[in-house]
Amino acid sequence: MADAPRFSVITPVYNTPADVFWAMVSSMRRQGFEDWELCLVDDCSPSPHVAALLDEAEGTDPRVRVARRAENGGIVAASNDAVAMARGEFLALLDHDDELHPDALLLVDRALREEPEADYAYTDEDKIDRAGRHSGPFFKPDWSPERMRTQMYSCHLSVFRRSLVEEVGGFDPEFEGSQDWDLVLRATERARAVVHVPRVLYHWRMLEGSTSGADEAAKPWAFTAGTRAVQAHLDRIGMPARCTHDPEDRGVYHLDPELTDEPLVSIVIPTAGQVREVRYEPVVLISHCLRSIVETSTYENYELVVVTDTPADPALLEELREIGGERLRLVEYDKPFSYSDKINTGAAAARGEHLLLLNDDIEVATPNWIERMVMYSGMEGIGAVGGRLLLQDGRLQHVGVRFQNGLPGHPYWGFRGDFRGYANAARIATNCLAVTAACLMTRRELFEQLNGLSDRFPVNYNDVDYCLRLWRAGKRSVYDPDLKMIHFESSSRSSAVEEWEKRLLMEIWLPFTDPDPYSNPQLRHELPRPSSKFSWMPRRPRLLRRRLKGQPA
Amino acid sequence: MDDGSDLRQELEERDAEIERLRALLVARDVEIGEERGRRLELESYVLRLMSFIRLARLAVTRPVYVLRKLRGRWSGERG
Repeated sequence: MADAPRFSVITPVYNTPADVFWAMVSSMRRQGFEDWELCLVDDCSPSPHVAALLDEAEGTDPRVRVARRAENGGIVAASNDAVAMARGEFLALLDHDDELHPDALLLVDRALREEPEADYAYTDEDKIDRAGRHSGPFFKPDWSPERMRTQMYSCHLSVFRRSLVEEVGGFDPEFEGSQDWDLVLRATERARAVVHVPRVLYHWRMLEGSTSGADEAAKPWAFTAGTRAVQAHLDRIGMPARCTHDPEDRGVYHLDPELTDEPLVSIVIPTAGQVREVRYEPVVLISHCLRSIVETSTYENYELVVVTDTPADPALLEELREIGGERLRLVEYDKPFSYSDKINTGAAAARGEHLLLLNDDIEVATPNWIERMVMYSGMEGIGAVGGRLLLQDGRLQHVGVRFQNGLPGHPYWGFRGDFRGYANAARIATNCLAVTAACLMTRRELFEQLNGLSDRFPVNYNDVDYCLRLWRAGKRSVYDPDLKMIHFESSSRSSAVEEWEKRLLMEIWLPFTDPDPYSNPQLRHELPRPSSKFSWMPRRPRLLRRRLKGQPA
Repeated sequence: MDDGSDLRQELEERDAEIERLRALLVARDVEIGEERGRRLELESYVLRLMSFIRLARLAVTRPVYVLRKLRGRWSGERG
């Protein structure tokens, strides 16, 4: 093949069993898209059968190219050799024991043509055993930078523009074991666009000793390398955070704040001075909330802006002054009830660089909650930060807002507090279209640019509308699972949302929210549909696929 | 004086007992919450399974519609 192919598939080979090697090569030869080359690099396999396998593979198809390393250098060295021999416009990473779906390159090519600026593409994936049985599909969201920092979710199939891989210097041996994650992080820091193909196009073989297998301890160094790769990324982008891996699940990582300065944070709390039973004791919600902030928070530089209805109970105001001390600023609100306007009134009186909108029925459960929010809110691309809200009995209330058919909802509402969510979605930091204003941080500058919460939504959906306006302005919302709060919301869910509110929200935002880019077509309420089990099946019979040969290069 | 201190002690003991019982109730709420959460998870699983059964039934009467729907979903169509 004289001309450069569209795709170079990069495959380091080491002691590959013959059956899985041929399954891998066959999956390439079955591709409906033909303009590819397979770059196989043998990393000095001691098993004598590998040399024969490579010779045979090279002989069966001119698109299969083979190189042999003189000495064993590990997966990074072999991958870099494969990158060096590649001629394609894009590099696709395929492990020596895995398989590609017959439509993989075809659909990735189509997606890349639809988004000409895309420098990185990834697809959904599943697992396959030695006998070829499929299981454990992973249906992924569209590009989610915050998720990428706490979970290597894009993984397989990953396709990079070759020029970008060369620009960032290829695979880094310092992160052997998590070299793919490191490369994705470095590449996406510079990528103009990232595309996601929501189809299971990669089959990750479960073999003993593979990280796809059940035994995650098989490659413990991979997880520590992952921590280092994320840390290096955080340092490069200037995010004041430290990465650690989860002792219970090493595929999950956490970010802890390491702030260098503490900008002023204004905590804006609207209140009507309500009394409610909390843990079998009647309490004034705002007093309870303020007390939990003052007693629990480790952040020093904050002010409390409490917006009260007039006339407020003088005894309550006195109690609030006693709890809040010099931090407290009381703002009176004498208009008819509008949550949005009440928040905007409080925000107008605030002096902080960051606004933290908080309901008065919240209790702080994480001492460094403000630090956590500032860690995210200070980043340029982020517009709003929310946390993990739990009901009084410990069940989940909020893990980020997801849209289904254009309407927002709380996935996993009422599930156990330790429920992991689909693919650990409740345990990792992730992007979402919106977070609840029961606890939401945003930069004041952004809040003012967008004229605060909209008075078109005086009671419900004002937070969703605000986050969507941020989204339209290019700012992401983030859910942080390590920021826990107790929300004394009624534990029997009653929908107080009016029909007109739903209609208005859909009228304005439907093109942005349906489909929700942070969900997946195979998920409903963030759990897999039973029919998704068959989603790996080829879409077209083999004969029809053959007709698709001869794609433009 | 003795009566007063006895009364105070009795009140303190009662308060402590109330606190103990309240803590028990809260702990029990968390236990119940865990069970309720588990029940909701199961319900959600059953609901998804039922919708699949409905789809399978529909496949008998309206196969073209079901095939189109599934093909769309499996091809990554959103919505």
